[in-house]
Amino acid sequence: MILKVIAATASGWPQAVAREEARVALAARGVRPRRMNRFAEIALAGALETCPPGQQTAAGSGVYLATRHGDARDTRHTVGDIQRERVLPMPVAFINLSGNMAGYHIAAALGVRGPNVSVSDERNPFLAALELAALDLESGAVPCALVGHVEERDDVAVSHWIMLASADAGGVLLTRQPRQIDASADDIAARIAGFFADPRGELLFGSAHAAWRLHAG
Amino acid sequence: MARPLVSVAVRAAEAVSAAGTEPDEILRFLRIPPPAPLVTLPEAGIEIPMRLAAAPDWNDAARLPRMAANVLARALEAAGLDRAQRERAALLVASSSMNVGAYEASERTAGTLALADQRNALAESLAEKFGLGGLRFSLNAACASGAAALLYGHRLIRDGAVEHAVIVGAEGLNQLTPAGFAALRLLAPANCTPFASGRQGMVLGEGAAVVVLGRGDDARWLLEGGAMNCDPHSPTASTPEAMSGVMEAAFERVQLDRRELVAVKVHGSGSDDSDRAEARALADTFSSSLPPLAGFKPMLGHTLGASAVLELVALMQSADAGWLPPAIGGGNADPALPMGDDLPAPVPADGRYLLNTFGFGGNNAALIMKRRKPR
Repeated sequence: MILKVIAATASGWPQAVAREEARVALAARGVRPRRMNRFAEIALAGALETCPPGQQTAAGSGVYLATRHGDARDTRHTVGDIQRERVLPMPVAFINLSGNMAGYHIAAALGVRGPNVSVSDERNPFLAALELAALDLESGAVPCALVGHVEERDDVAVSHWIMLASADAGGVLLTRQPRQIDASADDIAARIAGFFADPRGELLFGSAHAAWRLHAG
Repeated sequence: MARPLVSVAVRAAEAVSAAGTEPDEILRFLRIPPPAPLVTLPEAGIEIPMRLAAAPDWNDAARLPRMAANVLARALEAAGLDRAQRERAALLVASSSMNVGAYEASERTAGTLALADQRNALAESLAEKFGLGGLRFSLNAACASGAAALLYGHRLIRDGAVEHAVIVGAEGLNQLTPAGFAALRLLAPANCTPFASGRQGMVLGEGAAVVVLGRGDDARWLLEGGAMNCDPHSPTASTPEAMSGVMEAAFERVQLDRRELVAVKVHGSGSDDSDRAEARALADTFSSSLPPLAGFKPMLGHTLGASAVLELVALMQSADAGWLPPAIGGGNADPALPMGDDLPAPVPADGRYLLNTFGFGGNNAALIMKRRKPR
């Protein structure tokens, strides 16, 4: 399987200012977040970086949001409010914790209607999301796949995204490797973005189950 | 050169829910469900009907993992996977609350669990306990989580990536979920009566279900495929067009003539907007001739991320026992809905079934199952 990397960006902000910085990034794109939680704003700000203004994303594209911990901060606050204050949650706060709402807001901003899933894995969620995106691309279920890794760590919030399509000639390519290769790497999405900006050599990454080679075609 | 596509069979299907665990017990419950018991939320303080798999214990952090493990143990035994097959099997866990109940319980008692660790905790514990060493995903697409897991499991097998995919749908007791739906005023005060006049909302449910998929076309039930889409119209409601669109996409992917369908397993949540949109979507998709409609939420409750897997298991078990529950709650469709006056009752038969799931975040999914003649 060979996929083409159309775009790859890496966004990250110190936790203390992550939401504010994400909003600045969104404002620069003319997006004023309404009724979104912190996690969704961070996810959306990063996702939009892969889609330059004026460039249309194919309507059937899928969104695959990888996260190890998800919107744990927002959830913890809402659960804490219920348990401490002994009240029902604010409706909007609950809606934002339902399912894959960050993915929904990305789909709404880009006008895409393909599959939209949040994918978690304890070891390497981005690889897991990439696997599902690859399945959809290979089967023709989607023309493009927006695959991202959004994580709120103790010190920094990251929102790294790549846009993939089935390969045609040239460009930065992602080629499936035999499973014997096990060259896992942390922050794979960020490293892909780095390679995309300066595509020299190759980048190998993967797990015991799936491995990939990133290279210039 | 294209790889030959393989068929995907259901090798085992087990579940626990308000209806119990044994097929006979489940069928009795589905035929004559008791009223949904009232449950009091511990801190939010409200009392709501819920379909729980066991008596509520708000301090039991191990409730969902234990429930899921028990079901998975039965399913793996029924599927007959040996140790090597388990080590290679993919595990896909579908849930929308992702074991937040464990965190809530911990906060009430010892305060030792970090919420961030709960997102993958179920998948990790199940994989370790049962030696499932292959690809592993926890999926969240709101109410369509289970359908997503089934579809990706299907595709992994169909493309030859894995031999078996273990699909777990799990939604456990927690306070956040019912408190949130209560805040949205989407819960019924008593029973869930989808598509009926005077329907008053959803009744939430709890459950865990496991479907083991494997290569082959020799099983009673095959998962033929399906489709998913996302409708960016509203965070809480998809349009009839998007719902109809996902059904059409499923028919196209599987090359199915919709007139072949034996029945449609509806989403049928009982909430006014959702039922209204779904009724419109069904009318648009099937023109003047709706196929028989079956539904499970009045009996099992709405089990959210687990619902697609749980209701698939319920569908297969019911159909194999010779009966399917009609989708219309209370027996008569709301005349304001475009469902017609004379809907045929669903009757199990060999052939194809459509299973729909429509959820928050615009997540919609349609699965196509095939029931074969036993050999």
